[in-house]
Amino acid sequence: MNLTTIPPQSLEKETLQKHKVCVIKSRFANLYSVQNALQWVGVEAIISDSDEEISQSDILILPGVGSFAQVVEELESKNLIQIIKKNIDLGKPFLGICLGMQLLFERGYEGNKISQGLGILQGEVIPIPADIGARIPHIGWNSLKFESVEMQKELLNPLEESSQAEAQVYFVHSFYCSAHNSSNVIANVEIVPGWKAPAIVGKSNCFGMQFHPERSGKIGLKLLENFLRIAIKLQGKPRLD
Amino acid sequence: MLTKRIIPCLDVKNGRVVKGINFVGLKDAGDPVELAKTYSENGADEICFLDITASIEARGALVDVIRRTAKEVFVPLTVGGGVNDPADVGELLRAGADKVSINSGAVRNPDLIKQAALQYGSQCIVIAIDVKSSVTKPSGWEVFVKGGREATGIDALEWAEKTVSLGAGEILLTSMDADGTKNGYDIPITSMISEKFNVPVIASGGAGNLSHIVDVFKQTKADAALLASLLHYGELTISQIKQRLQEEKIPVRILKEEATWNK
Repeated sequence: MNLTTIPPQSLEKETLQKHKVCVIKSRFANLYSVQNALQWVGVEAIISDSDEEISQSDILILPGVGSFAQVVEELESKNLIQIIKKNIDLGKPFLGICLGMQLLFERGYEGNKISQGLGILQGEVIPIPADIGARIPHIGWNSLKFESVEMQKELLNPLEESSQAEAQVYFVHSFYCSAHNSSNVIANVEIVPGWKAPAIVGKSNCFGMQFHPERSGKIGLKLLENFLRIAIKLQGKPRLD
Repeated sequence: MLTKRIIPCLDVKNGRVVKGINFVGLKDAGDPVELAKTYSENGADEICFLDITASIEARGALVDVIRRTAKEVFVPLTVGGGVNDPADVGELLRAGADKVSINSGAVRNPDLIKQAALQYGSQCIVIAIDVKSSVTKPSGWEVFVKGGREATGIDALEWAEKTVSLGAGEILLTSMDADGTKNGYDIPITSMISEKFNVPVIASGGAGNLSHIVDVFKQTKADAALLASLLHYGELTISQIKQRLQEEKIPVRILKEEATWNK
């Protein structure tokens, strides 16, 4: 990740509040949980599926639960795939949560068919293999294993470094993102000891969290808040490919 | 590593917590929102509300409780009680529940599991199964409904298998034999169900002390333990439970410095 490091906590709540955050509306999302969590960190986000409101926002968040195929179908029916892509291409900071992260990839196999995702990240969304000895769905609190020390610090600040290494968040998913480019993976999760799947991904202005930061206690709220800090730094910068 | 979960369960009636709650320092011990908040701050991995009103008129009170809880509690919330059709599931999820637990409604109409899982995804469909031991059933356990008052004649193992094949994302297993006894979780049935199926299993009923919670995690493949009176009456705290589990090398989520963060 090529992010210019800023001094920790240099963005105050007032700065956060100045930015328009839009939670993209779909039928298959826990929209209000995400909105409530954002409110807790000091941001009054709007929930919208209108081109105008999405385009006028500074930061986009796409939550999602349910199945890949169903959500793609719904987003397509509202032309939201195009609208989201257009805004991402303009360099607008974006966070996909759970299924919203999975949609950043090229293809998904959930829902008995192959559906096209946003294709921002290379890779596909496939079932957690049945033979690794994991419970499926992968439900519960699990630790983040950061691949990027720099991003670990940015996302988990002000947590002490020793605690950062043990940060636990809440996962609920049966499919995982098989990322082709390991440099897009900011953190992994060990679904069973020794078997990793991406937990946080990022490329340029786009980020994804496989877990639910809005349901991951104070750590989750801090991750959301720190994502917003990163997003604000990225604002107005062109998208890097 | 995926941790074992500790889930406090609150019985809610007309928007209020029933069963005595003996908590020091709460302004209103009958308010489910305040209790959920306290438990989550003490390290609960999830909160469960069980609506025992089960009447349509009282539904509004429950939805209001969920909505208020979702504004202040940032750990997963499972809600159950009186869920009879996919629209009920949708209503609870929209109010802010992360998972919906279905019990009698699924026994009456198993297709409800399939419909709900298709519409909202298996990950939010918890099937609550209440069982009692029975010599006439092949597995040795029979499914009961209506809070354990009504026998269904259905074999517990057979029913669990069916719910999983229809799309259950998790099983909340309560042994009516153990429930309320404080003699420990029902190890044989919890072990059978948690070994047999790949979906996560929440053990419920019978916990009376710390060792019982250690036992259910050591002797079965249960993923979570549901607790009610033991916590509500202040006999044990979540941090005591987590500490003991940690000593026993059972992976748990421990709140550290973030517990002191304000916002």
